[in-house]
Amino acid sequence: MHPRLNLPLTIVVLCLILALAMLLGVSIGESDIPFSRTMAIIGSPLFPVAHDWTPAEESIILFIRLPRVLLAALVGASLAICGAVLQSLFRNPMADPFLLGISNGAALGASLVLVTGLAVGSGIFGVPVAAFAFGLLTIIIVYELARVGNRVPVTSLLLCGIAVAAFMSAGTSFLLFVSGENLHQVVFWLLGGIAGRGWEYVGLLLPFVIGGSVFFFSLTRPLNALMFGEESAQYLGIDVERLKKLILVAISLVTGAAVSVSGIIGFVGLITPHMVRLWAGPNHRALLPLSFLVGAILLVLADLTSRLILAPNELPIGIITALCGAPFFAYLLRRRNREA
Amino acid sequence: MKYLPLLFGGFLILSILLAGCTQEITQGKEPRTFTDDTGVACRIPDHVERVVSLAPSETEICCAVGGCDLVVGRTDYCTYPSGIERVQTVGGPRTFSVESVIGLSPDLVLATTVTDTTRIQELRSAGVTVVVFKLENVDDIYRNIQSLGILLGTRETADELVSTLKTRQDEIQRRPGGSGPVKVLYILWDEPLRVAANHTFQDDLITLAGGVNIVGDADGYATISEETVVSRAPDVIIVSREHTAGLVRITDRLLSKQTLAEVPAIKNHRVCEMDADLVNRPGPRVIEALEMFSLCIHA
Amino acid sequence: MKALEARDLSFSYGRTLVVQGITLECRPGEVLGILGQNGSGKTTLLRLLAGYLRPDRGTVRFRDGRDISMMGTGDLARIRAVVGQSGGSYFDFPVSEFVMLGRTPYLPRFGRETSHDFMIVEQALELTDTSHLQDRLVSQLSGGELQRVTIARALAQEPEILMLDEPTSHLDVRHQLEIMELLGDLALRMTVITIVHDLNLAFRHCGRVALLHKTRLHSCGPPGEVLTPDAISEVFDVRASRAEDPGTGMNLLSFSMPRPRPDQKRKRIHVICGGGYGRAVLHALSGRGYHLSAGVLNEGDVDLEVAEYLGSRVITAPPFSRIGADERKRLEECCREADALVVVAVPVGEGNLENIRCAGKIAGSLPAILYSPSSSLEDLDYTDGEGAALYAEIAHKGTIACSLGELLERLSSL
Repeated sequence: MHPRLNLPLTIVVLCLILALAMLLGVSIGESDIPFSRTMAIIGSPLFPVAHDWTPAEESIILFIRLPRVLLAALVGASLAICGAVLQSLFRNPMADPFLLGISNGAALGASLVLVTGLAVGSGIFGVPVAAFAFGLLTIIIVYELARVGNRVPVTSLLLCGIAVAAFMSAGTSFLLFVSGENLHQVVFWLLGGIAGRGWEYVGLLLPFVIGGSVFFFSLTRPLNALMFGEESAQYLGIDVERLKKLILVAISLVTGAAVSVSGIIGFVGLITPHMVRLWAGPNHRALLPLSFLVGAILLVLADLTSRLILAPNELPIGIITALCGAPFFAYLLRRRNREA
Repeated sequence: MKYLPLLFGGFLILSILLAGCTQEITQGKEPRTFTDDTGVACRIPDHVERVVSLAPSETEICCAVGGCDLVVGRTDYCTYPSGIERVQTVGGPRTFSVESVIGLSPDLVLATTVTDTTRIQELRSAGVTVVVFKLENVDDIYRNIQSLGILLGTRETADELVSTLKTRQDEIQRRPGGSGPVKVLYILWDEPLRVAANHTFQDDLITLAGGVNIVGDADGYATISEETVVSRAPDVIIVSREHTAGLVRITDRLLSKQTLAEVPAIKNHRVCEMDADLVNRPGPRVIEALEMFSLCIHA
Repeated sequence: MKALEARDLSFSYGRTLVVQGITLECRPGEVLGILGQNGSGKTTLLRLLAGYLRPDRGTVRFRDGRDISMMGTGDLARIRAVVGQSGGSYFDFPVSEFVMLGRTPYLPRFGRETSHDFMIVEQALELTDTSHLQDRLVSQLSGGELQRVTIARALAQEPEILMLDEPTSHLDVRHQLEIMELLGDLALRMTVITIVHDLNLAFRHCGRVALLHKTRLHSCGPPGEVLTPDAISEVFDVRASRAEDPGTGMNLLSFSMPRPRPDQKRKRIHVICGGGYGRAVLHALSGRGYHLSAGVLNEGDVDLEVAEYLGSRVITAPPFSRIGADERKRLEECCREADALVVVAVPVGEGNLENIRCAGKIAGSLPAILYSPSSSLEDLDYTDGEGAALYAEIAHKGTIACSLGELLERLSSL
């Protein structure tokens, strides 16, 4: 943490910004619902308020906008924190949660369900469950390929990740090629989106986000130690191999869950930790919570943009994150190079 | 796959630009020349004997104007009229094999604006005559039928068919409608919500059947949010039933969605399910589709 | 009492044996230096002693007899701290937090540091004289500062044993001495095991040294006993000599390239020099593997010491005396056996005139090179012209070289 940064204050400020962004996300949309009515609708399950709104308005706020905004925040937060942890684990600034092929595996699983139309068998969760299962399967394959005895060297992990990811995306491309009329569903899934995801998806993701984040926050010190090399961390009393395994399991679960509900939303996991690091330094005590919050804010805003920019058309949110993320990333790098 | 939305957009723009063009045919001199919907002048042999169709709609039109016997090649999706399955297939509309098409040595290849353009170019470079049709509304279909009649030398059959279809269309449209405009939404797929907006064949059907498309302000096949559905409150929802994804019942999913519970169409169970081949295929059965739209909208 | 005891340690990377059968013990409060050639297994041995690598055979035990392979990483980190070879990327991390990382083995997962932890960190900074750096960022430190801060982090682990891998590499002389003195001070509180590259530093600052030779332990003991010229020459393949530094009274080791093998057919060269003028030439020729003879040189002449050190045959005369007939005869004999004669232009006086006269005579029958790097020959003449004339004669009969490079080139073309 940079000596000048007041961490508790920063966290409070970011929480406020997140709350504001979410409020914005809930109150702005296709249909014009006055802000006061929006607030009343949100408050209605908790407080006794006079019902002066239509059932349609209620269902827009409570069942469409609210879960969607929450989901955006959860997905953004989990991708960002996973990105931060992976970048530290690999000591590679290019790492992001999708690096190890989780997303490619998940994409294959989702495409399989979408193309073959098997979704009915497992009900509404057909696609997420398949995506999650395939994401985990991919990580297991990558891990087993990369394992040297009892150790998992990160470079070998990276390379195996690339190889397996390439294989998985080839599978997806093949399915896309033969899918014909279901093509657009797969494409939309691949571009990432949280449109039309209700409370059940929030419920699906929430335990993973909470569990994962608590686990990652407990790794502040080991991750700090790991920055200075694996051997050095080992000497400080950290069982590095065990730590790596635990992190991989946690990352797979959290990223897998996020991808399974939202498809592939790029750049949030890559850029957010970078942004936070440039501004708050590399100390994980600041990096992890701030990435969590900033990721949530960014995705809530990106989601808002994705539904406003071409209304009533709904843009895949992945396009927004990449469209804004890539130039911003380039800018950050340029600035850092100039400073160096 | 990243380019798909662009591709869709590209087709859309192309279609709009070409909407003003007309099909014309120059006769008398040898050989005949036909300017297709993309503005390409095609040389047509005097007697067309071998036709390959690269779109299900073209196959249907071809058969409807009495050219079914001429079809020597089709796509995997050309499944109507029955008996056409016996004809050799060359692959999917976007993925067909150019070699297979050339191998059938056709006099004439029929394609639409949805057919893969690179492959069309390849065929044309190989000296194959490819005629491309644009099919965005019912009038396009009538023109397509008449053009094919001329190309295949069955002009009378084609003209007869068009006038029959037009008569039925008039009948349907003359039917008395209910009170006030009926708000309609045509849904192709529910996750994400993919709907037929302006400049689509289904939008034309909705309008002709006396309905109002609630997403007429968007263009082409659009992806919208559920909020749009709730706030624009359609009275009728029309859903196509895919054969390929036969296990999925989009209607069931729509009806069970808590988010859409307040939509009038859902509340009043006015969700019509229609055979995708019939309503998504701009062919000679268009009036059957129009009939179904009309029945659904005015039920 | 033993702070650490290694028994019969062996380790291999794949099929390559890196450490073989090393038995070693380390006493509380000593600085044990580990020495050896590059690739002799020093770092691997340190990693074995630190418990980072698991030996294929053998054991490492701590003072209380615990086998380190049975201990968890956390337990180990409370007993020994390791300062690895510096390098790698350092981040914008404040020094105080960096040193606090040393408290990792004592801190619970979610718990915050207590005042005790802060006190330990403060002490570690004081011990390493880095208190003034604590608000700086690790990425802004110089090499010496970084090394000290890293040692401070290790001290924050409150180790019984501190292990270091070449803590003085990449540091200048002053910082090398500072680090080694720091280790000496620290040895009052704990045991220090360090890999040292510089033999003189090891000699001066280590209580005992372990000398590794090709994956095995060559010898272990006080530096004075272990670091003999013979042992050094065997382990490092250099020629070594040991002398007492007149200023500090400390032992001073110096090294040079080993003598070429006697079985090789080498040219013999006789060098006439003196007064230190021939030192560079003698070293250069010896380095190129020529057999040398030198003289006539008065005893006490610097060039004589150099020639003897290089193992050349020498013709000597008593100090401060003229070259007599006997020496002249031996010089002529020597020249007859030589393949070439190199005359280094030195000031000529009555004392060494005989050398030049002889050279002038022989120059016709033997390839001769006059090496005259700087001054003009007249300035070297203290004999009213005879010396300068003789130099000119040698140059005329043979050749003249103005630089070492030129000299070596002439000789190799013979």
